[in-house]
Amino acid sequence: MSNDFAQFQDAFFEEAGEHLAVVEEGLLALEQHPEDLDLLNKIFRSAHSIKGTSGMFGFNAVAQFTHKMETLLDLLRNGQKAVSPSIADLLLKSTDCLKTLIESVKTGAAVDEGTVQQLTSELAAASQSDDKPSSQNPKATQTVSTAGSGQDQIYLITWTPPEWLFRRGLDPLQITKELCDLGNLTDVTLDVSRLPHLAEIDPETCYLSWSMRLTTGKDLNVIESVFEFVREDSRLTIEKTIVPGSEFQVSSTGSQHETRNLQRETDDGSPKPLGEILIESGVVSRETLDQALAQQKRVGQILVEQHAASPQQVEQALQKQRQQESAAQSRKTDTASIRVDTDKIDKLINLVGELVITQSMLSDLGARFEMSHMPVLLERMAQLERNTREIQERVMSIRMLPIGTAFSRFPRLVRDLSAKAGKKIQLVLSGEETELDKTVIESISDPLTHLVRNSADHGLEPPEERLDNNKQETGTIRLNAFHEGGNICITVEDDGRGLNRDKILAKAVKQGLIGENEKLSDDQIWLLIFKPGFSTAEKVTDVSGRGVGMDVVKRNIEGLGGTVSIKTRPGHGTIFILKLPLTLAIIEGMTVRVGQETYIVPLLSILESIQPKPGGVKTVVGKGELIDVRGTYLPMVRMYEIFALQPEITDPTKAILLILETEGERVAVMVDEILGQQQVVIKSMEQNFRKVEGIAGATILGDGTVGFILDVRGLLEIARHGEPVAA
Amino acid sequence: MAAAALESMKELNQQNGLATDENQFLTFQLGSELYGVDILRVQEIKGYTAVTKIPNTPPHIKGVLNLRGTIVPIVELRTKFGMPTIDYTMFTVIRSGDKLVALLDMDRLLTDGEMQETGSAQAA
Repeated sequence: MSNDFAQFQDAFFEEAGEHLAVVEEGLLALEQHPEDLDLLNKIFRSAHSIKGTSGMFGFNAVAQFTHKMETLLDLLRNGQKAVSPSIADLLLKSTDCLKTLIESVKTGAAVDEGTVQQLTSELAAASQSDDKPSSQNPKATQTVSTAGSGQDQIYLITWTPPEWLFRRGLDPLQITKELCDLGNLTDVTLDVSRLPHLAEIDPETCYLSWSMRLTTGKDLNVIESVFEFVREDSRLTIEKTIVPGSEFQVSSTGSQHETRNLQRETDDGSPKPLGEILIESGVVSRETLDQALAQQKRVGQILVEQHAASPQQVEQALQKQRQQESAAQSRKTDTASIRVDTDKIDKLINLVGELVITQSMLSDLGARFEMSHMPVLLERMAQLERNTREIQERVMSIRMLPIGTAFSRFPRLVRDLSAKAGKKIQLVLSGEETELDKTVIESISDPLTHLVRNSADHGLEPPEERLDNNKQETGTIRLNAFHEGGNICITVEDDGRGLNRDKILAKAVKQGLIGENEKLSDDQIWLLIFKPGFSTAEKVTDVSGRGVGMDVVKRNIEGLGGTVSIKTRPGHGTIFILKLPLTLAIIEGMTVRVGQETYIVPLLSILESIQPKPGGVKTVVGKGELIDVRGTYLPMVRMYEIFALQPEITDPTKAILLILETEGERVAVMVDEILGQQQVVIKSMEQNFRKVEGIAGATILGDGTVGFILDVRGLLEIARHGEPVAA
Repeated sequence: MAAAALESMKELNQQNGLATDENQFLTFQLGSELYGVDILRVQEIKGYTAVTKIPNTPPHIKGVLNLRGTIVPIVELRTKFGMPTIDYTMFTVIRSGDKLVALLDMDRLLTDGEMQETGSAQAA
């Protein structure tokens, strides 16, 4: 029993997490357009759900706190209070607090009671202080206040009561009386066309229908409510005649609308707009709503009219909003589980079925095999290969998630950063739908956060400096993701001051990272900022500047088999480009042989393979060997030396040299022979052993033995330092 | 001697809170010595297959093997304990923490009867 309960609790935490995300996202969006009631309702619903479920589980602290938030949200929702930046800020803080509260229930961690108390009282204070809604938010109140004050309208009502009307003791007269109370009921006509012959008549069955005209100031819902008790099985049409006093010709094409046709159907259970709900609940009529809506202007329009913002700025803001919205849509709250399209699973099951069939055909063939069956065998083997490949592709696609999951935390981060740093920053997200392996997405979150923080703190200038430099006051950080070849590229771009070549060089020399007179290319200089402990920031903030971070970024990305590169233009901004493999599980590799051992080299890092000319190999004292490749000297690594193997060939001019590249640096690796090219599944060495120098992972080869995948980066390090760490 | 080894093994396991008096061990001989592994740690015993050497590792790390898709390192106890090596016929895959290790020395597993004999012989 308790186990069951625990299971429900897990569901609660998962759900609460999702609701919190909705609240947070909603609040952020609300800051952009405070008058959006849909948004408020959405936030309110989520908060309400948290309150309800937490109460159910007896998490009273959570429930009470959420209740306080809800009270404030309710006031906002009813238009009794306006959404001000301070309120939005308070609510955001409260959301954070709620997060820690829920976390504390989950893990039993201590909560800072002081913060909870303070926020609780702040929320209470905000809910009580009775400041009238500012002019920022007139629409909501107007919608409500104009309720019920519509002008006289003429409705054409046709009503065919259900046959059971009399059997249930209902009286049609009562209905007409009630309609009379509503307004002026005229032209009541009784339709007796359905009356059967007297001999066939059932005295308890209602064969009648009416049509009538009602002139009233009440709205549609009020009229409908008259028919409340008989609506079931009734055929009821209530139509507003367009020109008051016109003839009855408002011919309804279908002539028999069900009453619910009057309400706009909302598809797939998405929340109805506020107006619809108000109409349904009878607070306002559709006309009132339409009038109110007609008056309603977009904020942007108002701001432009008041000269508070330029049309361009508004357009930019709108663009941002759209992007945030699309981000929100593509977002999936993600924990340890993946939600998979049933369609994908169905296809997978079909494929597995095919695989089973192929397998049974093969075993059948094997049981009574003769050499004459050879062509059949080959054919079935081909079929098996096709099946396997398809299944592999499908399964991989299940692991793919849109990168929006990793992006979704940035709007909040940037908001907080911009407040903290006193800079105006807008965040533009794009390519959120780009799909990426789940593990990769999880592991790039932190590096991306570092990069965004870095851009906000170092990249973008303060507003004054931007204005001085003829730039827009608001700095832009762009996050973009896209596919490129077998890789995925993620760019973090800012339009800030760009990297300062001289400053970085000076700092690097000062910190002893490079020699005084060392000549470095621009790209090499930019890479210096990834060195541990490197920071050019004049002051250390709590955001960044301690020089911790960029090296972590680089390490993490490289750990994923990816690379980081930088493009920058002084005064115009910086772009960090992360290149990551699509998936971590399978790579395209080239199998090579050294002595008796087989190794796999990632195909993406192979530039070419050559056989050097005699005399092409030079030895540099203390630096190992170099090889002349069309005028460029590259460091050369003899595989058998660094891995202590028995080679077949020791003369470079008879062996094969693979030219490998990683992060723009090259190394030549000497092997005995190239065996072929194949896809390999990466298996972890660390799972049961540990990391081995020069080896990125292992894989199972075709003959069932283990082969190692070379770590190009590691080989480069070895080439640079001469000897491997452990000889 | 062997019994003493067993006893100390039991003691060790008891210290680690692993064992009761009823513990069972997989026992094997290395040279003239008797060794045992808590049977609950033994995942499986596997016939000898091709081993892939790991470069730049200590000599007692014999290499890795493919255990149904998982890469498992192989430890050669004889080398580790400084004994002459022999030809092996099987691996014993044991679990240590959450990692798997294949031991390469249990060339001769003792049956219960032999256990008794050795044990009593040594005890006597």
